[in-house]
Amino acid sequence: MSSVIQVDQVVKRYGDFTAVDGVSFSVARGECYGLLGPNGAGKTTLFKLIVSMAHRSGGSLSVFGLDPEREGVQIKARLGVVGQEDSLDPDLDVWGNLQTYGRYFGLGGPEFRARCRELLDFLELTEKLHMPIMALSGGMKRRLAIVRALVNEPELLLLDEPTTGLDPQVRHAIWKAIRGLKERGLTILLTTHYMEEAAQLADRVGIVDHGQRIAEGSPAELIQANLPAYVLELPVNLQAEGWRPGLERALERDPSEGPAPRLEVHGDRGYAFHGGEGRLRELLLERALHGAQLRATSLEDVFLLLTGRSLRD
Amino acid sequence: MTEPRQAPELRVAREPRPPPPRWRRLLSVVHRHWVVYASTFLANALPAFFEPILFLTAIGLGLGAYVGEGMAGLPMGAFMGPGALAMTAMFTAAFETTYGTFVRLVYQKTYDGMLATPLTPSDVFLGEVLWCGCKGFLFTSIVLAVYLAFGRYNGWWVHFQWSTLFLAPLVGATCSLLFAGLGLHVAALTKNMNNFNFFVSGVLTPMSLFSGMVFPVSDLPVVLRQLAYALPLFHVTELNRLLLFGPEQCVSFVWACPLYLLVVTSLLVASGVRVMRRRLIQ
Repeated sequence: MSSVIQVDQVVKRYGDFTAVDGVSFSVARGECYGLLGPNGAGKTTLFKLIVSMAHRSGGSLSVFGLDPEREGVQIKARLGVVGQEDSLDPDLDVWGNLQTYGRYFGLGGPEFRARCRELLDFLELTEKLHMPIMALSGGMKRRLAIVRALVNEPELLLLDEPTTGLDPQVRHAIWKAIRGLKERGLTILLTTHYMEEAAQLADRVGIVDHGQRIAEGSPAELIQANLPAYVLELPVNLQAEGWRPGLERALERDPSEGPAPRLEVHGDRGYAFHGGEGRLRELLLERALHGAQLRATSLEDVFLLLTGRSLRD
Repeated sequence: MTEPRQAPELRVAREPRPPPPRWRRLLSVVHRHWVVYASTFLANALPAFFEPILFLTAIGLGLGAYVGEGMAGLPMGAFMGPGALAMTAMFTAAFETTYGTFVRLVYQKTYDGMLATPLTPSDVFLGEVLWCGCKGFLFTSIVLAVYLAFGRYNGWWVHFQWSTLFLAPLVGATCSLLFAGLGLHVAALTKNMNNFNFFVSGVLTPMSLFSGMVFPVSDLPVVLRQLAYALPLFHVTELNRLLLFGPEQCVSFVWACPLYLLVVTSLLVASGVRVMRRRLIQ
């Protein structure tokens, strides 16, 4: 499989601040790759480097085998981009946005207009054809931004936090649309800090933090490699209640294969990870605690384990 | 929102789409500004039409009535014509690339969207400057029409030739290109929109007062006169004077004005686009 994006030891500095510090990954044709990371991890900077909106400080980067520093125009003719801020043109209405955007690609004519109508229909915006951008809801704007990114029939779609700030209905609708596009063979690079989004859409995920890639794999692989399969979430301050030693001893008994059982304490909640569901169920019954929850380990648990729980921004 | 429809046929994995050539990219930017402008055409063009009428009525007829012998052998309203044309072209461009550009850059994020397409920063901003040139051509034509109608009515019709109807707007377009280039510097270097007041009160207004619109520059003391000769707007005014009243009314070096304007315009536009690109792409 040929890779559409090849990122190799890329560095980006703004003055003294290093936003991207030697990140490497590649995205294969037809793949959906998710870049996951807390705010300020360097995801958006990587995006800017790919669309020639920032100069690289080091490393090598190629898109379709071309260098964004020198061949940005050629690359961008083949890209679809949905930015974090929709950056729709508020001076134009819905239809005007698509027509003007198409013209930037040298596109127009009846075939192009038919395609625009088809895409508007796909994301259910046909009735909003002549609405001014200001009158659209957040969900409509994001859907229009996706439509706009598809008018040039891109080979690669870049989505920067495509559902941030949207309600669950719109979020699920957008996910479904993205999955539909993926099935058609579109290559997608996605950034997000919603684990569920990454788990729903991405074939592979790269976790970035502090400008570095700290883990990579499919969502299932990432979970398997880092944490036991199940977790018991306890709404108790384990430290204060003195539960910790007892729980630790309980977890050490009959360890299953895979990552070692572990106990995580975060403020007033405790997390007991173990590979055997039965062991955790016993613990749950034993403690008979209201509000305790036994569930499968999620990507979010892995993410928090790897990036820590301190607040960002 | 209900379930989205089936994804439309995507023609991926065909041969790569080539980007449009440079001239088409520039044209697409000019076109964008034209579409936006045309959607509110009346609100935009009516002031351009009425302002010179008010100006000529108040200053030319009203104030001019007290300036009995006129200025430089012309009625006051007639004398101010070349400067009024130049000022129109200057302000329309300077406002477009300061306030207009800044709003698109900082508040509307219009350029982020545009730069995600094959457009380069220099396409975007050169296109913007070219659009200002078109606007300068249009506005100068409107003001010229009003001015000529006024002059006809008041007997100011001194040295009119048909070619003026095309050449004066062309001078106006050049003037707009020049101030669009200058405006881009200001928009790129400012962090706060209020700073544009310094540019307007500190640069544009003085320039319009000392470039031969309200009084002949030759009346100034030598040092100030030399300074005024260096102002780009003076050269625009002088060229308009040449077109409207003939060479007798102009400074001896009026023939050098086009060259001066072309050089300064090219430099300011090239550097304005560069400064803007630096602000946008880091």
